[in-house]
Amino acid sequence: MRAARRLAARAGEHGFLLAVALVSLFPLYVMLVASFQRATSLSGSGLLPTLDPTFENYTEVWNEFGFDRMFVNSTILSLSSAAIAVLLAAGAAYGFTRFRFAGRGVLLVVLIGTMAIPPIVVIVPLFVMMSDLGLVNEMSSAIIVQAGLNIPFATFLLFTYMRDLPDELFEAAEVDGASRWRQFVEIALPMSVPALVTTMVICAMYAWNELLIPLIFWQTEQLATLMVGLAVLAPGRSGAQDIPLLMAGVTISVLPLLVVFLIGRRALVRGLVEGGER
Amino acid sequence: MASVALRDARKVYPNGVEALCGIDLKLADGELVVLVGSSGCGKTTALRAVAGLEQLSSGSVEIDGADVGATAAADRDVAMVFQNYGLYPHMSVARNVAFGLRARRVPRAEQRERVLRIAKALDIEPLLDRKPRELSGGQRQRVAMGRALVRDPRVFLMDEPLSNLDARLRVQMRGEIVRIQRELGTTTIYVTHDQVEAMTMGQRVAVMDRGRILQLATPEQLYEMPANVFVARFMGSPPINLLLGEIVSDGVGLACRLGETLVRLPEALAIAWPDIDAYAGRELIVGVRPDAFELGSPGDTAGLPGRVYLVELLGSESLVHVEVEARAPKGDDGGGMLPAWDAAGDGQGRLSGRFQGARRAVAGDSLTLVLDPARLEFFDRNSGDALVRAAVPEGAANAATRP
Repeated sequence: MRAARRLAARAGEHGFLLAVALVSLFPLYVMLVASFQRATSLSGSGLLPTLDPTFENYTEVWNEFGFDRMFVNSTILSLSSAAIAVLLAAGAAYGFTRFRFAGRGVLLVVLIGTMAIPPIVVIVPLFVMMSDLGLVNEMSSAIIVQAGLNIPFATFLLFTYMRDLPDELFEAAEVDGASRWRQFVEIALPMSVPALVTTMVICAMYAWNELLIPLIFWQTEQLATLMVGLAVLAPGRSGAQDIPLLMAGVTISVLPLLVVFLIGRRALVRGLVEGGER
Repeated sequence: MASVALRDARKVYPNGVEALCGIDLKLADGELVVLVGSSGCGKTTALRAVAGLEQLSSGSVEIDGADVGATAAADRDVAMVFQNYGLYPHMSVARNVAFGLRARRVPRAEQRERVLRIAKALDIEPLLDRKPRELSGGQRQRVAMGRALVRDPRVFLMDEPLSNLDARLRVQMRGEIVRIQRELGTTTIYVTHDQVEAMTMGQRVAVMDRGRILQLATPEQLYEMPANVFVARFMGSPPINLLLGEIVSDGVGLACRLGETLVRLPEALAIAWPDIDAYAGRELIVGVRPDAFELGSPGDTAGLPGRVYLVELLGSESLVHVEVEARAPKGDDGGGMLPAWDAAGDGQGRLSGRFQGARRAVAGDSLTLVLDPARLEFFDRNSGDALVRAAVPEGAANAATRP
């Protein structure tokens, strides 16, 4: 009796999870199926895999719409802005956890509070600033802005992790004669690797998915990113929408994120939920 | 190597807790002093103040005569072994041990040579490439020792380094730490809550309670001549038993009345405790060591009557716990110097005795206890201080007895 009830409960749980998974995966399925169809055959059978799949959509977006160049631009923006954000945030998080100074709590709250400000609110002043510096349409502009907007979040994530690193380790290092810098480089950073990786991936993902910042700071075709390319592709060049072509573009832009997530999902979750305490 | 001194060291935390109430402690060059006390007594705060990890509210820390109050921990040239060892989990044993040398920019070749030498001495050479998580508790403890030793510091500070080890390993490491310390002759402050560790390791022991040093003396002096009821109760296992007694002068001589029982005090005792006749007619606290009384036979009438309530067999000896017809100090007795567990007691007198051989009594036995008056200790009921002893130079029981 009890076994049967337990079985029913498990079946219910699994049924629920399956339903959630299906709802989540459905758009991906539609995207993949559509991307292999010909523009003419899509209507009517859009939700079923085609019997006549084609790679043409992929080759077309990649070669003719410049997705190859956009892919490189997106990669540069994501990796470099994430690296800068994580590096600076790690220093800030270390400072907030290991130094006691007046106004520390307030500063932390203010910094974290800036996470609530939507980028669009600050985009105009940022543009004016970059324009004055002559950096608009320079590679550095979007990278700097993107990194800067990610720093509060990255600091918050790393702060919560570093806060739990045992004090004893830093005290031992201090008595051993290690400077603050050495404690940061040799103890805080290596012990925070799970959190650093997670933060780096999340920041890179934000940058990868960002449309507004590259659109505004990188206005030349040479500097367009995948998201900008998709935005251009969406209405269709001839006015009518070429759904399979768009879906091929979306697949190309989503694939790297999926791969990173599938490879590193354990490490990602560990960095998010665990503190540094050992 | 260096001398170390804490002078009138006070530490008040921002929340108002006074962790150190003006302690004075001076270690001679090469000496090992143990700070012992229950948790929260201030012993670790004192140690951390010497390390530079804690700033004193007032008073000073001196190393080799120089005030190091303004010197950062990194520049004090002290080494510390932490309770949880403080090993860096991401570094190999070799890198852990060499960390302090790297921080001080010792040349690589010399680093390697010194790490190897220490590893050999501590028998951790085969472990050098392992990570701390791959080591047993005892091995980690050795690595932590190695990291402190390799720097050849002026002062060693050890914060309960054995408390995470099992009993057997603790005994072994205890001996080893003392051996290494004697060999190197490095001035060492060792903090523990374990009085057995304190007694066996310390050249001198400071017994601490509520931010004060209650007595600083050799282990023998602490045991034989405790300065007050707290020290008497803290040292020794089982600890000294405390009863309330009244000094009676009846013309023939002095006697101590415990409940209804009169214990005659020999004349020699009045010489050993010159102030004791001043207590005639007054109550004081009487200390009875676990080996200072004998169990009478169940029909004997002379002696302190009692009833056995627990017998513990420890192999070659047994502990017999007896409820006696006498009162025990409680509450404010002893000027607030009674350990908390005594102060909260019910006032019923109990004696615990240690006896050689197998079972000498069984629970429920009614019997009489024959006390050896020459081995009794006497404390003032109001202040908790020991009565002045004739054999000890004045002031010696309350302060350092070694120059």
